[in-house]
Amino acid sequence: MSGIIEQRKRRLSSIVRTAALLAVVLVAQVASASAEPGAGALAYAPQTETLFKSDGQALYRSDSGGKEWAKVPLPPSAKAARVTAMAVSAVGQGALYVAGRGLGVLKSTDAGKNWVPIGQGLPRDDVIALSAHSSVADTVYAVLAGKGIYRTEDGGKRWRMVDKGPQAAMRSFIHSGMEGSMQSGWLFAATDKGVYRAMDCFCGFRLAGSLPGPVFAVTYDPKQPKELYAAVGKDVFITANGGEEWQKAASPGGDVGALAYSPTGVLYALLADGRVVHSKDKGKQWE
Amino acid sequence: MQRPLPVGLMTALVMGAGALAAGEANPPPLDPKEVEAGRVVYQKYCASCHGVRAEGEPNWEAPNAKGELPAPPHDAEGHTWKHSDEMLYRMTSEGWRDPFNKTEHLTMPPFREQLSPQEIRNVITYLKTLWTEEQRQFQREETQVRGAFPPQARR
Repeated sequence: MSGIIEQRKRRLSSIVRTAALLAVVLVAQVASASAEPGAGALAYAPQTETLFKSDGQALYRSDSGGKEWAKVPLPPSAKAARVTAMAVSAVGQGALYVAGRGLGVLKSTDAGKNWVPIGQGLPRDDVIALSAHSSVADTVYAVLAGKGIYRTEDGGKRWRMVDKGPQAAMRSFIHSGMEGSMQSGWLFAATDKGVYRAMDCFCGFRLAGSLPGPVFAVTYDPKQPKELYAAVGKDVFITANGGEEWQKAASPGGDVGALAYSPTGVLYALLADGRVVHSKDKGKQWE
Repeated sequence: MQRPLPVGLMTALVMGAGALAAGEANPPPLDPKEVEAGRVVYQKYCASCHGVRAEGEPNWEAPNAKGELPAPPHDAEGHTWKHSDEMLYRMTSEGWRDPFNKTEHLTMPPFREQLSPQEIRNVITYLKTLWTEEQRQFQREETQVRGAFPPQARR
């Protein structure tokens, strides 16, 4: 009898130890996820000169170039979701699009006051990256985990899968109006293997130059589309020739999770701790 | 040189290409005469680079040692089906150079001196028989949105 009790005690003790170990692992994973540089997103709306950021949890807006921030409420249905991808259309009404795993795609045409879900036509709501076409208002691209890139050309009424994407894990991507495309522009994708480039007719993604590590974000100067910026860990790299060669800029002062560029020539970087810093001289100095 | 396709297979391909796709009413069937004429043009002018079975050059997805993009496949494994008739016609007629090409060569040479507008149309029609029905539907929609064959190549 006492042997059975001892056996049960040992089993219970083993279960408690395993549960405690699991709890430690889970806490470590949550901490790691919240500190992951790629968890946030950043976008600049030129129409209203508004900067939007997500720290991976909530959405904020700044009308002061990042000095002050105000929380932007999402619809009640999106309360539990995390905004991890964001895009602003640089043309038309300057529609703001946000997305994240379990969130689908939400669209706002009044800087976040009202939201409309537009991802119903997607096969899943696990959107991991989002981009707006650089010159066509209703064209938006969304990357679905494990599926590929989907495109809508009517503001979200209909989505079509257009490509499987690069042979790498995409973190974020942009549409650029850079010349030389067979169609209307280019896509640049930040991936764990570098920056990939494709024409927007999706003739294949190819590595654009060489960077020293996983890339978490990419953005470009719409006035000089061959000039792009890529975030690699704590560093930002700049290219003047569409990604053929990259040069290291000054470090913004922390792990960079997202980048945005305003047509006034300001480069913004979202750091892993949620701060947004900016550079007015192409990444030479950061404030 | 590849042998002509058997009549039965050709008919099946053409009928398949014109079959009803989900959500699309009566897609236009491909003209079997255009398909056969296009196949002949393809084997004479295109197969040397894009392959006799339109399979493309080896490792076509990455630039080669010279820094040039190899000729891609035109079958279901490639990306030709993603382009509108207007773009495919323009590419074939005028050629194209990848702006990141490391040499001065054109990525795709122009064929407007060798091929008539109808011959260019025929060869594109032939390529459509190499795609899946889903790809053909995608390509038809691209053509509706981005442009059809130019007037000189229309029937």
